[in-house]
Amino acid sequence: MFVSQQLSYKYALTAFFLFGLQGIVAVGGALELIFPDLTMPISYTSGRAFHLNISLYWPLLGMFAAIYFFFSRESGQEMYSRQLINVNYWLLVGTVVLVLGTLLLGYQEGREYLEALWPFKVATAISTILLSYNLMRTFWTAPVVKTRATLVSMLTGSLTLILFYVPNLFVYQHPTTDEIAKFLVVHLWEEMSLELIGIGVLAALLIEIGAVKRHLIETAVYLDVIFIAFAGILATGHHYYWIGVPAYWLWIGGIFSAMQVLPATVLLYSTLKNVSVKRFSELSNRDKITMGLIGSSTFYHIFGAGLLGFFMAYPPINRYVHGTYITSAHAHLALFGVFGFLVLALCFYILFYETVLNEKSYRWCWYAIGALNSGLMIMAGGLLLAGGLQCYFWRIIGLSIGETNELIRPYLALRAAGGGLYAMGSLGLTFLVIKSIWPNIRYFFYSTVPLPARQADLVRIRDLMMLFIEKAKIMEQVLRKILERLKKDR
Amino acid sequence: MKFVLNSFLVVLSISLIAFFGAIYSSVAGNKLQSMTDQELKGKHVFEQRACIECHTLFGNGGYSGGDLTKAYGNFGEVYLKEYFLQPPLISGAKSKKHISLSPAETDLLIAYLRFVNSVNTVGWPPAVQNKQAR
Ligand code: HEC
Ligand code: HEM
Ligand code: HEM
Ligand SMILES: [Fe+2]
Repeated sequence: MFVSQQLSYKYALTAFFLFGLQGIVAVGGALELIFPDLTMPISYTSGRAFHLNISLYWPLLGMFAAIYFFFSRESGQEMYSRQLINVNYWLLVGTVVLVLGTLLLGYQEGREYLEALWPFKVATAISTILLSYNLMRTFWTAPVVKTRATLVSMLTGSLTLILFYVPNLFVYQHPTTDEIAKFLVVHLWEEMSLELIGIGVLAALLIEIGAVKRHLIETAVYLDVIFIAFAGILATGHHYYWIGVPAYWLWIGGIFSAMQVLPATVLLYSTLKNVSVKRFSELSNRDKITMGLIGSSTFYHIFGAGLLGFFMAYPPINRYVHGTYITSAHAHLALFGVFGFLVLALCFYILFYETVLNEKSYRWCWYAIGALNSGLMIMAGGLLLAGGLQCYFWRIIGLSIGETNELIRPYLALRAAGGGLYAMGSLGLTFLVIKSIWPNIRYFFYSTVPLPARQADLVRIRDLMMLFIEKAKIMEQVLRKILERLKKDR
Repeated sequence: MKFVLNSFLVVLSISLIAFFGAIYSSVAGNKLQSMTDQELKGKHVFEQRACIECHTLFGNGGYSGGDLTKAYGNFGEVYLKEYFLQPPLISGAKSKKHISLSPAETDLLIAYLRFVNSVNTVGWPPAVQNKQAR
């Protein structure tokens, strides 16, 4: 284990903390939509801006954790600068705290998703630059083959984070240009950069826990990232259909969005083919939870992001569903369903690398994951119904938005109920994680010396036991064969 | 693996160039109408008041208040002026009113909505909605 890996713990812990926080404010906003007279301590506009920003920042923080953790491991050495990992942590977390704080106080720039004040956006850009710089330097000196798929996809993913964020540091006059720039972050960060990073870290994780063999998935990872680069970038067009650009974007967006099924298919196919499920029972508790979260992520990747996105991206359909709650259903299924669950899986894995989760917490973790999944499904179901009816009443029949809102309120209530369940799951999971980590909290933030002896010994004993069990199984087979031979010979 | 890596880098570069090229050709020259001072100030009012958290513009934004892209064309100046100066109750509410604007802000904002209304959105939103002008 490298020191760089330990330094990533604090990123993972902070991501979990923000994830827990998000649910509370979100439910407040959802309630305001069903009880129009309700007045919350936080105004709806501030609350929504907070919600959107936190929904971009916590998965980002979690991805940073995973990148430092697995890049160092996969490159077989320490990161080029460990100091820079710490500096970047305080820079990024400081920025996030200030962004969220100022948004709650009502300071914002009035552009959706990019509401944060300008200096904080600059700080965010610097964070992505520091990350990429550290990765580049590490990559150059890595004692492993430079074509290793996991390293390449993490590195290119991180570099493109910068490329897509920087255009948003400038001020544009025309609202159409604003929209063009906004989706460089809202679409390309997610469906290109984080997708590349996600594939890289996921492959590294699966290799480490022995669920797949490196040589078997190396090509699959490359195939996947090639398809992502091919389809994902021009698919940004599905956000440009109606923003005041020429009509050829309908073709670009439509065609390349349809191609986005390619990477999803490769992902599904190679997971089903290469991940051996029969070994699930042999995994440690932590790895079982991790796999449960990864499984959830894969499920939403195919249905929430891939399938639903595919239908919505077809221009004649998009013409009607664009700007309705159907988009919101997809946004939650895709952003939380895919990257939320993936980041939770990665952070969980990282945080319990040296700490042991006790049996009771372990069981509660499953309940929390159940609540998250069912909450998300109910939420998305409610939003899809609300969106479908909104489309019909408002876009097709031509009722006013006020009348439409009154008619769809029951489904928005269903969404809020699902949100409540989700929030309970998220608070529960965050509580369990923080509670289990708490005795060693100083270690997670400051220390590079090993954990207190007993803790580390426990981990080592657990690993040894796992090894014994594995060996015993092999021995059992050998013994059985010998026995059969003996029987035959007799 | 060297070959696959190179293919990846080539595909990535070509896609990026094609994408940014297409963006450039959509905005370069006079493709986008320039804005007057008043329209720009109206945009700032729109941003300061965070209208985008409850309303969509070109279909992007918050979903609770509906789309404002063609609001100027649908409702007309008089209706909008009154809406912002003496806002009605939100549908279904007994006490909560829509946010109000000062007379100066209202004029600027309406100028901005007029500008947005003139942007060619290739026929979006669907026609039925345009008919509902009061
Ligand atoms: C807190 C959310 C919220 C904010 C902020 C907000 N609106 Fe609204 N707005 C609504 C809702 C909800 C309606 C629908 C009214 C109803 O229920 O009948 C509405 C209706 C309207 C309408 C009438 C449109 C129609 O289709 O009936 C206009 C015009 C409008 N808003 C403009 C604005 C502008 C401009 C701003 C920014 C200065 C703004 N709104 C800020 C929530 C909001
Ligand atoms: C993991 C991947 C994905 C994530 C994280 C994601 C996320 C999002 C988000 C957050 C939005 C809302 C944007 C807004 O508020 O305006 C959105 C919209 C959209 N997404 Fe995705 N998405 C993903 C995959 C896909 C795929 C694969 C497709 C199509 C094949 C797709 C098609 C769309 C379309 C068409 C919209 C626009 C909806 C509208 O017109 O309002 N998405 N996506
Ligand atoms: C307790 C659970 C949640 C609730 C109740 C909730 C509620 C809401 C509400 C009320 C909105 C505003 C929709 C509108 O404009 O009318 C919203 C938007 C959004 N939320 Fe959530 N949310 C929850 C969890 C999450 C999570 C976990 C994420 C991602 C990590 C997320 C990402 C988004 C995004 C990207 C949008 C804006 C795009 C859109 O609405 O299409 N939300 N959410
Ligand atoms: Fe997208």
